Amino acid sequence: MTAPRARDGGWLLLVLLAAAAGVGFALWALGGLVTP
Amino acid sequence: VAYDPGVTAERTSSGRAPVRPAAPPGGASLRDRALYLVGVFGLSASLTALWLGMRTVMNVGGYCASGGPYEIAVPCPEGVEAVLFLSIPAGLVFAGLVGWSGSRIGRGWARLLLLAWPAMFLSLGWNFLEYAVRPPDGSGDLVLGWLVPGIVFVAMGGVPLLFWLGQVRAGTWSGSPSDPRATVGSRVTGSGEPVVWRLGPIEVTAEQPQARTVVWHLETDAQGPSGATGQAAAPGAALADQLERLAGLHASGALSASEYEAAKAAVIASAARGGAGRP
Repeated sequence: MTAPRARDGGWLLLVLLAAAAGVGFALWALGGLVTP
Repeated sequence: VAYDPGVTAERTSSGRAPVRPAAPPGGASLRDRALYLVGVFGLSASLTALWLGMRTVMNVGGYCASGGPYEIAVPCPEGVEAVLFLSIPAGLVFAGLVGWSGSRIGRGWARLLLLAWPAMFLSLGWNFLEYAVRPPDGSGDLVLGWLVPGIVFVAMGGVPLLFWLGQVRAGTWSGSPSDPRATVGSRVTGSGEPVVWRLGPIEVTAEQPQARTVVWHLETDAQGPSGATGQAAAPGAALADQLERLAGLHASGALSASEYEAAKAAVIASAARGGAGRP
């Protein structure tokens, strides 16, 4: 059962990275367009 | 009556049902996972764009306009309308992508989409509260017109988030992509035997002869692929058999229409996940 757990943890990390990348991308892309 | 998360560790069922072949491990394809990541990325970007666009409009006083035949008091900052109007449909499309690919990976991952609701309302609520306390005109006065929606937005996002956190803490939320318990019913145990499963509005137990195959499916699902051993059965035939029995229960009046639909959906979902209905 260790291997699937480790795989799930890695997958969750990927999902979190994708979410953070989405936020970062929007801030970067729209930084010049709109003022925070 | 309590949910028993340790269903794999201990078996209290007296009539041990035959075990069907192990479900295919892994389940979701690489494409599903890639689409899920794209959806999460796009949804996060859309929510951030909405948040940024709202702040931009609030910076000029909370409303603006452009185009049309009328004289415009407050012109919109360049590009902000496009950002606001595109971020909402784009967010919905990406949310759909997360839900669709997530349901193929595992029900827990699709339900992670629910976090988009508190993310949106809390982030936009933060904008309202921040600008209510610190208005862009620099006056320093509390802006009641922004404080009230701020409180409403924070409540709309925060209350569901608290429920979600409560579920996670109680262990009734499953984020594991291959955890079958995330998809079908919940196992309720009384003071011992028999094992009882709750499927939406109904409870089934192996003591009911007609429900035995349903319980068998649920038990073997809960047991997971690692514990599945024994003789192989034809999954398609098992599904048809279960559906026939459920139809019989419904025809005899033992199950109401809604109970029948719930049990049927659970059986089909169970079979599909187990490989019976998978192409």
